[in-house]
Amino acid sequence: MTTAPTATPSDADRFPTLSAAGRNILDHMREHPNAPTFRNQSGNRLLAEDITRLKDYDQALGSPPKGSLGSTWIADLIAQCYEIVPFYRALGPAPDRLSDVPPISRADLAADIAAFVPDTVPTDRLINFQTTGTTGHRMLVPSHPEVAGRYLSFHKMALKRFGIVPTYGAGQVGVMLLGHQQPCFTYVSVTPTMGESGLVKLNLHPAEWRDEADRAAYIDAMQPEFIAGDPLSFDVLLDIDCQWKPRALLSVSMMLSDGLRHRLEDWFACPVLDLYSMNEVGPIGVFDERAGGHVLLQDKLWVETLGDDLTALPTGTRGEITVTGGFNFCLPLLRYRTGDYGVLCTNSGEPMIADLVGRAPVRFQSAAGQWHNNIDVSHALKNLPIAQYALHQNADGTLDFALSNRSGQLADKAILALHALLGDLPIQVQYITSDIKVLQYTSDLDL
Amino acid sequence: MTHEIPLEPLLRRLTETPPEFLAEPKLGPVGDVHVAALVHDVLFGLNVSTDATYLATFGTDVGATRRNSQKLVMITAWVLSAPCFTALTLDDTSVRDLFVNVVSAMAAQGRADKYVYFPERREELVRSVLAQLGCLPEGESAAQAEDRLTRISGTERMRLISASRAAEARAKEVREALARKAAQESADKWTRE
Repeated sequence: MTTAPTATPSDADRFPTLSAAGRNILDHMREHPNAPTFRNQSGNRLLAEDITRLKDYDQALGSPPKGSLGSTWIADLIAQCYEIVPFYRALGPAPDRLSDVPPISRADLAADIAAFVPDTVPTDRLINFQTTGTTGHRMLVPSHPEVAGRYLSFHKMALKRFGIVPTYGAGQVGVMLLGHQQPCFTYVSVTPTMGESGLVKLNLHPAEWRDEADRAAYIDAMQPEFIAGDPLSFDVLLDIDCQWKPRALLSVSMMLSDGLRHRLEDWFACPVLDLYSMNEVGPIGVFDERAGGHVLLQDKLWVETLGDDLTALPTGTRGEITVTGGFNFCLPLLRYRTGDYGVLCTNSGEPMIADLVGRAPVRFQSAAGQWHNNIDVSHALKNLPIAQYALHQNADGTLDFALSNRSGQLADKAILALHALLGDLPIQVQYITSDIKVLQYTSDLDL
Repeated sequence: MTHEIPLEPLLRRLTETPPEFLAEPKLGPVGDVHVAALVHDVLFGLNVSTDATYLATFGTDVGATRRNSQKLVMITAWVLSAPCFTALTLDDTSVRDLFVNVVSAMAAQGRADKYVYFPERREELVRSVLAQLGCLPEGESAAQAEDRLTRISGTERMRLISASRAAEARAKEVREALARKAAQESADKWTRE
């Protein structure tokens, strides 16, 4: 049975299976004396049968991908997509090989996302995740409450890699999501597959709190087992004198520098997981320093890297990360170019992405005329705990280095590192005041 | 003067389309057959003039969404290479429009290989080619030929119009569902990306 969509959702729509214990934890999170202003409402929207299926899904998931990713499920997926997904159906007969499927990009999805939703997906329970990427163009990614629920299975898999098994349950706050931006979607919810434990999304921006000191007090009072956020919000978290030590931090949505990761690990004395995740396909990999890259998490997400000619590159070659499959049954993708770049390789038989960098490679020319890839710049700056930065080379060779204004004290060290790599080029420092993703590397020289 | 062409040999020719004409058209880095070169060769064989602008319509950079249309261009090129056409003097514009307008419209109606493997679609393709070139199936009057073409393509056209309307209604339904307030406030997952 499905609930009919209503114009204005109620708590019954948001929490179809809410128990008294679930209601209590919602009230606890919402009405605590140090609680911030919650701007929005959201819920798991999971029906009883969804929860049963999610538990089965979690049980059946097994291990992360091992060895060769090639499998017969890809052929089935191609045939199915060409049958029931309007975009692919319009391309004609299904090719036999994945390499014959034309790669698509975000622009294809943005042009008409409805054409990528299979005919078989009922629309009455569709939800969407908004994504802007680094282009700033808003796109609605179709999803479903059950798909959102599946994220947990992959986060648990990532945590397991670091020896952590979530234990949170009824009466506890399991996860706290942090943002630091204006505006920010904030709400409280519960996770039915974890005993209706609490889930709270906060904005650490001072304007959302009666008193700035309430931020640390609220986090300490909620005692979340895990805290998820991005480098910008974690940078703020380090400054608010919070005493609570979660069991792990999960960083998503932006590149996390080694420097900031080490600062977080030192302060919170827990692992800091850097997740490579996209609204389109969910968590793709988790960074493991011992493995030397982002280890892949989904067993039914085929990852390949493409060259400039859009053909698959051999393992070990840097290219555009391109994905097929995924657990979002509302958006089955074939050869979706992520716009991110990395080297696909294996470590002890485990597939992973090394040297992951968002966006296309950019080269910078040193004072001596030598060209350096942006990977070299990333390596040069990786030990500085800068929450976010961007480097641009002007046509005259001079550099503009932008960093988050909260990391301003690191500007001098960054300039030293850039001079060591690129020579004595003039560098103008700017500060990033916006809280959206920025294009990290750009150049007027390397066109 | 209207040329009369025997239908059967052309239908048989379609059933015997060589694999080379059913291969993948080259689009970007994918595929093998340079469709523009193929069209050029066929037009040259028919003594029909062409230019680079026209041939660019079939280039390798027209986009993956043209794959089906490019495949039907290849199949139509095979039909037009039949000896019965090379002996004729055909109107240049009619031949060029065949590849651009007629084939595109037919490709939009269904998979290109259906025009090879399904008897009715084979007949539809051959009759459409003859009609576009101003030829008649041997032994048929203009009215009979037009009636027959309308009947075989009409059934399919109605089915496709109906399917097209259903597809558009479905796309509208999906867009409206995604735009609902309920869909927008459902951001309940661990992470934002």
